Amino acid sequence: MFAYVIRRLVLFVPVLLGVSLIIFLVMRIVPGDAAYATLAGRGGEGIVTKEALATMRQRLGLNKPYPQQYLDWVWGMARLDFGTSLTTRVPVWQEVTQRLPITIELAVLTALIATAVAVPVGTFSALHQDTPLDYILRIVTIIGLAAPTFWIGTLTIMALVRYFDWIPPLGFSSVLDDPWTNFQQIIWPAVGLGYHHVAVIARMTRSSMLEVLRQEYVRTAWAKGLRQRMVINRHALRNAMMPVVTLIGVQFAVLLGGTVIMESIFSIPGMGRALIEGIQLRDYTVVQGCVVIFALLILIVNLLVDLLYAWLDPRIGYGTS
Amino acid sequence: MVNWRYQNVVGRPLVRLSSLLVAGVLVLSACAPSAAPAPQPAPSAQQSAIPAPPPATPTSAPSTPRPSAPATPAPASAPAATRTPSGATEQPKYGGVLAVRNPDPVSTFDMHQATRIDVSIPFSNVYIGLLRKDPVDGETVIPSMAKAWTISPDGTEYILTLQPGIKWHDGQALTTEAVAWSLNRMAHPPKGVISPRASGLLVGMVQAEALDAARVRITLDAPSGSFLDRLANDWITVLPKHILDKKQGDALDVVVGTGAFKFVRYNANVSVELTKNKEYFVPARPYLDGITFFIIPEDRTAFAALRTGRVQLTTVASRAISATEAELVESDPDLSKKILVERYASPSKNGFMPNNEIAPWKDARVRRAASLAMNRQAAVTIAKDAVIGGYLSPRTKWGIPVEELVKRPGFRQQKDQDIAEAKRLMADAGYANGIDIPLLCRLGFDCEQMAPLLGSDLARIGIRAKIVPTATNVLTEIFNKGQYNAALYSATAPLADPDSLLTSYLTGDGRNWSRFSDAQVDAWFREQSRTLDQSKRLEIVRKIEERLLELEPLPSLYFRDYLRARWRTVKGFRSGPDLFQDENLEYAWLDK
Repeated sequence: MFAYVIRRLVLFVPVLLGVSLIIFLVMRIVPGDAAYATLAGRGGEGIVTKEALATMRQRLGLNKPYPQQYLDWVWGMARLDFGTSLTTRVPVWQEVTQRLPITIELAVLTALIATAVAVPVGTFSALHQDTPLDYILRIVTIIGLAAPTFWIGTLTIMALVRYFDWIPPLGFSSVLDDPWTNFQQIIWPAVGLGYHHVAVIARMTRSSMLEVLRQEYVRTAWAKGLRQRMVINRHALRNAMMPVVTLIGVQFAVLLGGTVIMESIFSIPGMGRALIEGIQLRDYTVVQGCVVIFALLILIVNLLVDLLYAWLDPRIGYGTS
Repeated sequence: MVNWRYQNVVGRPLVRLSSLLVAGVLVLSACAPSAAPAPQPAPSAQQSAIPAPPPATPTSAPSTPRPSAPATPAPASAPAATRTPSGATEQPKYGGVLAVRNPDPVSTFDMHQATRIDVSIPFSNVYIGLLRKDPVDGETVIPSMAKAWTISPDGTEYILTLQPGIKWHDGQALTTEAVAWSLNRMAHPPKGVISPRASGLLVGMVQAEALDAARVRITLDAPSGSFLDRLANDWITVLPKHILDKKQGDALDVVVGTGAFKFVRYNANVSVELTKNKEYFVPARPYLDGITFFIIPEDRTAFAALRTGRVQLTTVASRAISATEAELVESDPDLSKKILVERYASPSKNGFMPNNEIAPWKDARVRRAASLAMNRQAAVTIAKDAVIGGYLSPRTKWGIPVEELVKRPGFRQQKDQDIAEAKRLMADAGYANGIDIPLLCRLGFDCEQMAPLLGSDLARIGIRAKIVPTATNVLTEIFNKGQYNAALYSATAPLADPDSLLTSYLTGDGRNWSRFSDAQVDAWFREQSRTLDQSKRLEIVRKIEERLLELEPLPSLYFRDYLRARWRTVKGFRSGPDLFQDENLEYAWLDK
């Protein structure tokens, strides 16, 4: 198992290199000059003169050849120096350490909400297959699958304003400093984002449970006269959860993408919003840094999911005969 | 007992049908146009505006002395039909923290090198300008850091006398050396320092020097009719030389000013907090205890924050409040009781920009034909809060009035004669069979609404435009490089003065994106720029506008008013026509 983990960690390097090369090239191909965007701003209202543009290009290192820019950046990353933001001149690492905990808090809360709701919903739906309640739950989950995250987020804000004349407090309070304000700020995007993931996980849970409930050992458990709770929780659910766990891990990547939208709509200063602002302002270093960090997070989560899989199913072993 | 066998033959089709219905509803709602305001006709700003009482400065404020020597004749006030003075005759109240929206994270702490409003919005409250515009009429230049000024007879030398007793927020006294150093740093930035002021607001400044402990002399290379207005702009800031001298690097990374508010902290990507400067040299001000600028990039979220009172004031120009949101506020009785939408004249021009350097646009006949074909009345109707104009906004004193323009070809309601003339011009220019052009436009309103209108107008005379939606910052880059045929154009200038408004028609100017060149316009521009007599300036500026209307390098569609929204409890200030001039909240107070 240890060897397996080491192997996976070593494989992180070529994956991250590949990601870094792709994002580097993409940012250079996308139209728009970073120096110009830095001076003019998102709305183009900034004052840009030829002299300012030339000085800015030099200051940002944009007049160097692309291979040199890439190598400088990669070498910096190897030393945990992700460069400085082209627009704010703040070290990207500083931006990451400020913003990443916020995004992780949002992502974790979303995953918890989604799992806590989806597993019981999916189980309930499986146990009451083809009943009106099952249909209602399935319709609700289909809406969650079909509705775009940005639409749910925007609707949430609109509903809060329209019916309650209220939106979450502006700014962002840490959960350690002001838990109640933090809760008010984070719960809405988490619920909105969680809805989509509830749908996905609930449907998988339902399918998985239906399959497990048809197994011989479950029939045996029923035949023995065990109570329903015992049959479901002790015998069926654990086996049904295996594909669900895999799905949660895969969904984490999707969830990180969803935080980008929700952070913009709810004005939460996380990594997602940094990514959006960086793209709009052609802030190469921030975008590249965020994408590499996101890629690393996804790799770590996938590794953890694989290890969890082995724990759930003792038959699965990595690197053992 | 669980029945997991699938026996219900009705259930599955029902689920499928319900799913299809739900998906269909979602698709239709996604494709529907943006929410329109309530069907009741919205009251116009003029109808709903509080009748203007005679403007008066807050009575508790000590009056600052006017310049002792006669300066240039004060410019005649522009018609202010759309302005709404706020609380002009009420006694200001002290206290409260105002919440304002800032559209982006702060990009720099160095005001000399800043180019974007995310910096000027908060920090123009930390720094007091040398001069400023009267907060009541928004146009008259009044003393600020400088209590008086004199101008030499030839107009090339300005001597400013500073107010005594002004201190930096760290307790150090303000010196004339710091003032001179700041002006020189902006006008002639050292290597590695970016200062857009050098070729913008301070163009023509030779040097600034401290004459003694109270006076600063500014020397220009030629007289300038707009220099005082330029000095009164929020971008002209005096920075702490004593701090920058001690640190390495070329940019200021602290915020220490002399203004009515002190910098408290910048919560990265979240907010900028300012607090009242109790040692401000005007003892009666400011009235607010503090200001918090919340960074809200998303415009719809910002509107939600305004509606719910999380912020009480929006920022200027395109990031304030949209025309649709303004209508929504004004048509909702509950909202309109709480929130006031103000409209004020802006120099922002929206128009059609052909590339004057390439065919067919280098032929003035084709440009003139395009201008004749444009249906400006329809454009104004679609744009809302807009007015027909020539090359300078008719809502400023410099532009040809609307009443006069609408009688002219191209601007009049009846288009038959104009279309016939346009077709004749196209034929004379060799384009009797028409021409295909790509028409670049900014993503959003321009592409969705204005481009189709313009396209159909041009199609009437054989110019077949293919609309090419483009992101804003990409568009400005393309314009800068001249890599386009024709585009919808929208731009503004930091100052509502011809020296700022007309630079985009000067040969070789960095903002002359249309690549227009006319020696006569260049000569007249120089002449009006050096004329101190404002009425004489106006005559020359009119000649320039007439010439531009004849050559049509960049036919206008409309001039859009600036919109700004604030809670009615926020009083004491008004916005002016200059883009970066009304962010100082020294006079603002909360009526709670």
